[in-house]
Amino acid sequence: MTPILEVKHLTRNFGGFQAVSDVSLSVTTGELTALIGPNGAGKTTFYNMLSGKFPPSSGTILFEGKDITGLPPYKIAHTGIGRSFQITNIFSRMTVRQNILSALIAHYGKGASLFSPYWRDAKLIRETDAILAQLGLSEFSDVETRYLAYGDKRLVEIGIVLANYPRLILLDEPTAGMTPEETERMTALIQRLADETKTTFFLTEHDMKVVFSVSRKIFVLHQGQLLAQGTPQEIRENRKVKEAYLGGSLDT
Amino acid sequence: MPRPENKRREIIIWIGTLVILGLLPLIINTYITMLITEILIMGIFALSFNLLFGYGGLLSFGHAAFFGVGGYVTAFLLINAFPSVPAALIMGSLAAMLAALVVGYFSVRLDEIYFAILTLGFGMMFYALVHQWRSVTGGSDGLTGIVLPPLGIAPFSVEISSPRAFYYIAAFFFLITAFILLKIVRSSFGLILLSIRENKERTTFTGINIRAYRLSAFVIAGLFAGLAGGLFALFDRMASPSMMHWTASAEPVLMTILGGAHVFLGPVAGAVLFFFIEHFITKFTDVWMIFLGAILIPLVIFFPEGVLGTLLAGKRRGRKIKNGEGPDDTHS
Ligand SMILES: Nc1ncnc2c1ncn2[C@@H]1O[C@H](COP(=O)(O)OP(=O)(O)O)[C@@H](O)[C@H]1O
Ligand SMILES: [Mg+2]
Repeated sequence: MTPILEVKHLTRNFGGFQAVSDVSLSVTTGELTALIGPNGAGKTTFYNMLSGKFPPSSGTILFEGKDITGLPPYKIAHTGIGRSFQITNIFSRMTVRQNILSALIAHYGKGASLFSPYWRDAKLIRETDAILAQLGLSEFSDVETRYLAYGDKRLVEIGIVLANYPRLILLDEPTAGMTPEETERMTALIQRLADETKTTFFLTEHDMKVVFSVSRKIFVLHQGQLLAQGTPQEIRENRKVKEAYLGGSLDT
Repeated sequence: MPRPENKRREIIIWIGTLVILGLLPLIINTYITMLITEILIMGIFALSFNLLFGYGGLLSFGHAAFFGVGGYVTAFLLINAFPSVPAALIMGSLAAMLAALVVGYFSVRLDEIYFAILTLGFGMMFYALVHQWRSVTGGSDGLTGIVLPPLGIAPFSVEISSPRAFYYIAAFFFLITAFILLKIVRSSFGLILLSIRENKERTTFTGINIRAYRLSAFVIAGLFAGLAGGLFALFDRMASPSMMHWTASAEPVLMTILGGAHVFLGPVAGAVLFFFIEHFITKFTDVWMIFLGAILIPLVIFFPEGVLGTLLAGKRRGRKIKNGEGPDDTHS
C-alpha cells in the first residue's frame, strides 16, 4: 500500500545548527502514528516543514505520491494536510462557530463571496454543527473562544483542522498543558476520530502514556535524527530509545 | 444559527436613519447642513479605512492617497472633460481603486508597523506628485473652479449646487457605502478578513492566501476612499494637495479610534465627534488641534473600544444579563 506521507532525507538548519538532520520516514495510510522525542528533538521543526511554515534546507516531502516540498501553507492545506499547533492557535475574538465556519469557508473556497452572508449558507451551518457535535462543543457555539476553558480551546483547534477535511492530520502535542481529565478526553477523541474516519493521524506527544495507548506506529527523534521506529512494543524495548530518555520516563 | 443581527431591529434602524437624514436639512440652518455634509463624506472615508483597520487588522497611514486620487480625478474630469457628476465620481472612484491596487500590491506583504510605514511612504509620494505635477494638478493651488452641473437630462434635471441639494447627494452615497460595506463585513469574505486580523497563522494553515484577501480589502477600501474624495472635491469646489497630506491620512485613524474600530458605525460616530469638537473649539481658538489632543486622551482612556464601541458593549452586557444570553458577535 502506498504511504500517505513519504519523507526523504529531510534536513533543516538554523544558522549552523541542524534541528532536523536527514530524516527519512513514511506514514502508512490509516495508521495512527506518533513522533516522539525529548524536548528540542526537532518534532515541531519537522511538522513545520511538512505543513509549509518554512521549507526544508534539503530533502523531499511526498504526500500521496505528490511532491509538496516547499509549498506555502495555504496550498498544502488544500492538498489535504491539516495541522494543530503546540501552542493553541485559534481565533479568540470570534465565536466557536465562527472559528469552524472560517475553516469551512477556506476549504470550499467560498471566501470570495463578497456579499453572501455566511450564516445563511445551509450547507456550511449543517457541517459546522456536525463538527461541533463531534467535539462535544455544541453548547458553546455562540461563545467567543477567549472565554473557553483551556481544554475546550484546544478542542476548537481540532475542530478548525477537521473543517478542512484533511486526509492527513498533524497534531503537535495535542494534550500539552492539559489536566488529566482533559488529556483523557482528547485522547479518546483522537482515538475515536481515527477509528471512525478515514483520516490518518500523525501526532507528537510528550505524554508517553498517551503515545503508547493510541498509536500503532512510533518514530523516535533524538537531536534531529531518527533514532528508532516500530510498534509501541518494539519502541518500549528499544535500548537506544531507553538511553535517549535516560531510562525513566518510558516506564509508564 | 442565531444571527449576529436582529433583522427587525435593523430594518427599523435603516428606515429611521433614512427618515432622519431626509428630514434633517428642513430643520437645520445652512451652516449645520454643510457641517453634516462634511461629516457624511468623512464618514464614508472613515468607514472605508476601517474595512482595513477594524476588520482586516491593517493600519494604513496613507489612506488619504486614494481620497486624493478620487478628488483630483473627479475634479479634473468635471473641469476638463464632461459635465456629469455621476460619471466623474465613478471615474474618480475607479482611479482610486486602481491606485490602491498598485500600492496594495506592495504593501499587503508587510505587517503591522511595516505596513503602516510603507503606506505612509506611498501617501507622501502621492502628495509630492500632485504638488509637483503642476500642468495637470495645478500644483499647490490645486484644481479650482469646479462648477456643479445639474443632475439628469434637460427637462428633468435638478440643481445640486445648493448646500441642501448637495447634502442629499452626500447622504445618498453615504447610505450606499454603509450598506455595501456592512454587507461585505458580514459575508464569507468578511469572516475570512476577520480571521486574518485575529490570527494570521491559523488562517494561512486553513488554506487561505492572506495576501489575496488583504489586497482585495485594500482595493475595496481604496474605491470608497476615492468616492469620499470625489464628493469632498465637489463639496469644496476644488481638489487641493492638502487632501493628500499625511495629516489627512491621520484623520480617519483618529475618527475610527475615537468612535470604535470594532463596531461597524464606530468610525462614523468618530467623524461626528471629530467635527463637532472641531466646530465648537474653533469658535474660541485657532489652535484647536491642541485642544483636540487634550480631549482625545481622556476619551481613549475611558472608552478603550471607542465611544460607540464602549457604549454598545455596556448595553450588550446589560441585555445579556437580563436575557441570560451568551456573548454574541461584536462585529456587527
Ligand atoms: N525558528 C527557529 N530558529 C532557530 N532555532 C530553532 C527554530 N525553531 C526551532 N529551533 C531549534 O531547533 C531545535 C528543535 O526545536 P523543536 O523542533 O521545537 O523541538 P521539539 O518540538 O521536538 O521540542 C531546538 O533546539 C530549537 O531551539
Ligand atoms: Mg515542539
